[in-house]
Amino acid sequence: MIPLQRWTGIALLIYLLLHIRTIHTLSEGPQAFDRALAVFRHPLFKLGEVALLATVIAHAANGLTLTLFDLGYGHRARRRIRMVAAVAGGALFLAGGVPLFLGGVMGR
Amino acid sequence: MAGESQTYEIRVQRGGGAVSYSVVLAPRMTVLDALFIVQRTIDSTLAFRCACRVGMCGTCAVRINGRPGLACRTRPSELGRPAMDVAPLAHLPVIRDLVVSMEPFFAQWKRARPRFRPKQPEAAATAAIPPDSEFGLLAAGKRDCITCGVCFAACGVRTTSGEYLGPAAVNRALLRIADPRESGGPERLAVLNEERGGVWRCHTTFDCTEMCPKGIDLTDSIARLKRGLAARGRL
Repeated sequence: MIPLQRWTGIALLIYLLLHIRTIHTLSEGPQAFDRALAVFRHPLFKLGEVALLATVIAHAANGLTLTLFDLGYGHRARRRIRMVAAVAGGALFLAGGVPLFLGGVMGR
Repeated sequence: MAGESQTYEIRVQRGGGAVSYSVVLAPRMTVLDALFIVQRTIDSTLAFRCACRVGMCGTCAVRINGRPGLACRTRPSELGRPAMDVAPLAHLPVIRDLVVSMEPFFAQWKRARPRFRPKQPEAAATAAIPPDSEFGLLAAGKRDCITCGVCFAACGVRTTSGEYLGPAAVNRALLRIADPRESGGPERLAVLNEERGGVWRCHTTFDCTEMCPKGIDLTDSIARLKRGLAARGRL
């Protein structure tokens, strides 16, 4: 099985570094910050926001199940617990991802 | 024997590529039976390992359709298709065909200090462990390991880290640590607490537990040690 926590964690770390870099442009003046923000208005970055939401949800849902298992709970019901986490995560993603996609990428 | 015999295609990983053989098997015959048929009637040079044929020794562990398991306990009729891929266990060096060296597995096994070190080696009376005692109940579900290496081959962490102990060694260490008759401890705990080789590398994906032919909840053993180490402030 793919170690989901590791790969989503690395993806979030990359996002965090990019985020810090963007905030850092504030020290170069308001124009530099506006230029940086203008880049993020591109539909490709909006699509990236949808992917970011999916990554955060996957990391959080998987992290919660792993914590539960590491605390010694739910080993026998692991498939059901993972299924519940996947369904809840999917619902959260749809609730947040659809408006993000429609507003940011499709411009509606 | 109930049911009809069926023809199976068995693709065996040999050297650089897979070699295909066609064998006729009765419904209750196993992958190990198929390998024997190939060796005795088609290609006598095929190398594989086995001993007990009843799932007690763990010698015949191979990868069947990508999943590690015992050849003597896997029936092709239950795999759901008339073709199967048989390959040597992952994470272990191949000696020939399906025969692997268990050296990396036992190197980690030894690091976990598997030997029993009694508190009272000179005691005259045998120390009894009641089955309903805390250790008796724990050991009942964990002591059946046959060191087949299936969990070692199934472990995703072993793919990226050659230093990781592996589930079987951790399970053995847990049994030693939990044993009230055992005297050894600090060195074993230090190995389990290693950053690169210890229990913290486990991603709790349950691959070892899912594949274990003896049904041992190896992930639970690892989680118990994680909690134990955390409680002792060894984080």
